[in-house]
Amino acid sequence: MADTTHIAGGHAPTNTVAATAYNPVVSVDVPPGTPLAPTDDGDAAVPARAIPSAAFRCAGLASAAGAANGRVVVQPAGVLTLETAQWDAITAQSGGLTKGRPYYLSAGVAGKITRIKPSDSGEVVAEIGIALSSRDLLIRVSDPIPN
Amino acid sequence: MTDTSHTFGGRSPTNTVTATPYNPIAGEDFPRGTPVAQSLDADHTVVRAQARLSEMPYVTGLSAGVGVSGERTLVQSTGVLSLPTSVWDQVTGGSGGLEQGSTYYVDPDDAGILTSTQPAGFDDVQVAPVGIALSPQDMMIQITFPRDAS
Repeated sequence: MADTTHIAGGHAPTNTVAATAYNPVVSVDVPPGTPLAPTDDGDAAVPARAIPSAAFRCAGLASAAGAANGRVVVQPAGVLTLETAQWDAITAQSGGLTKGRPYYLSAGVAGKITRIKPSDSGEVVAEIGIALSSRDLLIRVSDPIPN
Repeated sequence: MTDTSHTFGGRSPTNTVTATPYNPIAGEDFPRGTPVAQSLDADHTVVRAQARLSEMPYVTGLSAGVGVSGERTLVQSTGVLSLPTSVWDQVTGGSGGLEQGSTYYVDPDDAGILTSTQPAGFDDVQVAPVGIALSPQDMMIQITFPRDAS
């Protein structure tokens, strides 16, 4: 997104709720934009995948790269801005995101998002967000629904 | 979380995400409270949402300011949006403001309009909830992805 300061005002809002940050430990290297799901193993998260046998309850997207066995900050909502090449690594597209279109958690590969809504039985539909440009995704994670 | 106490103590948290602010360009004129969606034609530009797959059902938020074509406007995607009843009436087509306790949806027939009647029908009509009225002036924005109405 471009210039915002003149509209947003010169200071941060003071009446907002300070939520606890979600920065779990990941077991594998994750690039920025990776959809992550919490596991039942303490404070860990893994790349999410839209099938019931995998971790499909996505909590948000990695806002930066994370190294295996280290912590990564997960962005659960709002606009996430990445380079087009970084999005391409997550979407398997080229040229970045497709603006105006929704993105879903991939059923085929863990840690990916896709423009194609999962439709097969045995898959779940979990909306992840809406692309505002080739570089900006408005994250809005929905509760997954089985097909 | 387990590792937050040492970073939270006595000062603002430093390990939270700072999302990119969202104040896109208005692709057309619209009043405050209008449900808007990302344009398919121009980056960072919003147009009035309409709850049909053939239109723009993927709401990104409600306009917190008046949309003037070509200028930036604030779009609120969560939280409470408070507007005068007369402004809500422009967006809902009603009178006296919002119906307290009602869920509001994007209208399938008229772009940029909210309705408290859940859309029904076939073809490409979508059910796209945007929030719950807390009072005649206040809307708790809770946008969810659109679903088929049929």
